[in-house]
Amino acid sequence: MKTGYFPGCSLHSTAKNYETSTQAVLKKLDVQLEEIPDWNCCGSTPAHQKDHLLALALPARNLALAEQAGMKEVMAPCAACFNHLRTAEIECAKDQETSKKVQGVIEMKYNNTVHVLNILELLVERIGTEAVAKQVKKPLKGLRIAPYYGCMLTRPAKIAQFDDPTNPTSMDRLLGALGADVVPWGAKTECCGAAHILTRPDVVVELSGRIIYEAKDSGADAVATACPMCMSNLDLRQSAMAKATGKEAKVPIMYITELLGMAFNIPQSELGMRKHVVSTASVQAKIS
Amino acid sequence: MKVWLEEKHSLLEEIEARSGQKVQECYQCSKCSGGCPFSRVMDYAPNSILEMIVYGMKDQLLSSKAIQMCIQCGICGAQCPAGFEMYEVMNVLRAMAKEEGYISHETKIPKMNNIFLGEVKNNGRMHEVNLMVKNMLSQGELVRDVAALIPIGPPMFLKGIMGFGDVLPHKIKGQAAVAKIFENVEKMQGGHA
Repeated sequence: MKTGYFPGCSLHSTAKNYETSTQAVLKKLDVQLEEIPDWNCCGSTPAHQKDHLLALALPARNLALAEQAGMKEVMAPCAACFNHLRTAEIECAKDQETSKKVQGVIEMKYNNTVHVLNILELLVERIGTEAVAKQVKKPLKGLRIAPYYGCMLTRPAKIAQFDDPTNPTSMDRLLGALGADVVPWGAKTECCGAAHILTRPDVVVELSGRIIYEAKDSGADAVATACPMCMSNLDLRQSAMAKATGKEAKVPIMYITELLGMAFNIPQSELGMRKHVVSTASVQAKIS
Repeated sequence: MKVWLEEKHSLLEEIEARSGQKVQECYQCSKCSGGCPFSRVMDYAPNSILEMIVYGMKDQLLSSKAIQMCIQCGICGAQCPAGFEMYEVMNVLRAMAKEEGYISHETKIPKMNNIFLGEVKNNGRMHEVNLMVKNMLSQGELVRDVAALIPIGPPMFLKGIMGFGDVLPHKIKGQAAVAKIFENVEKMQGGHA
């Protein structure tokens, strides 16, 4: 299977291990990723907050480039990139006026032929959990994982059009296929505070802290995520959470693709497992 | 009295028309505010905002912190028993505030957004180190922000989350095309973008 690929800015800087693990895992699953040539930033929340037309145009340039390269589908591993690319896809397809305006702004032709996917969608709906299970060499037996979806993979529902907006289960099924124990918990789709880390770190530490302590109270060995922004808030800020609450945090946060890679027995150097502030050694020790 | 009534209804009507949401159908169950991750730190909670629209409290709404804090996480819409998407109302309020030149009580978020988008305009992509440094220098909380970096900065480099190759930004080939997008939007929005 071949699919278009939009890494996004984070996967080329703080989330390099999300990119390397995604590539390694999809290679094993016989998916060839074709990167959109010379892609640009999706605009993320700042463009969304500042100007609606800009928030459509920045992702639309990427969709137009993908269309030029003959791609029918584009997979974006970052939940925020996925959300913003799909907003452009949907709004341009829905309304000709919008589409014309956007094409005028990007000064490129775009015929609304590109469909945007998130990584769970690709893994669960395109590849399927059975094909994933077939690649498992080292089942994650006895590993208790709390699946964390955050906001942007499933909401707003009319944009994401994926899974259930408040109780999604696709990652649960994926983890089940790896042999992991999926932890039932209450913070599956809570917001980590996202980009407000740069302006209101106090609020983000509190919001992310609630997720971490909920995972801890539920007995999870680790939290699985499919978003680099969530990863950075949840992994990097645990010392600040501990300082704010007086309770130790120390919950390893793993990209879903790192867990897939572990189960597929892909070498850890290829997955980038060292690139976490909270050590993932306890997770690795439990399954080896 | 009649004029006042018309005025207050015009805000409600404008927001209903632009957001596609029937503000008047809200029956104040407050689930949007209960679910909103930021309602505790907003000056007006989402359910209050809906009521303020009905009362025509335009100035308070368009200069509020609340409309700048919404990141469209969408939980308000997912939980609303009336099937109402509150975040669309927030989007419209923020757009109106910009069009009408309101100065927000929330200054840090718009400042950060501008720094972020400046990076995208200049390089075609967002550069995390530049964003962090420029944002820290502009927000006037350098001591707090540097202190917060002490426990995470060194481990990020030691563990390779960030490498020295990440310190300098690099431009994409189509940077000029991306910068042109910003200029075109600016032109179309009549300087409001």
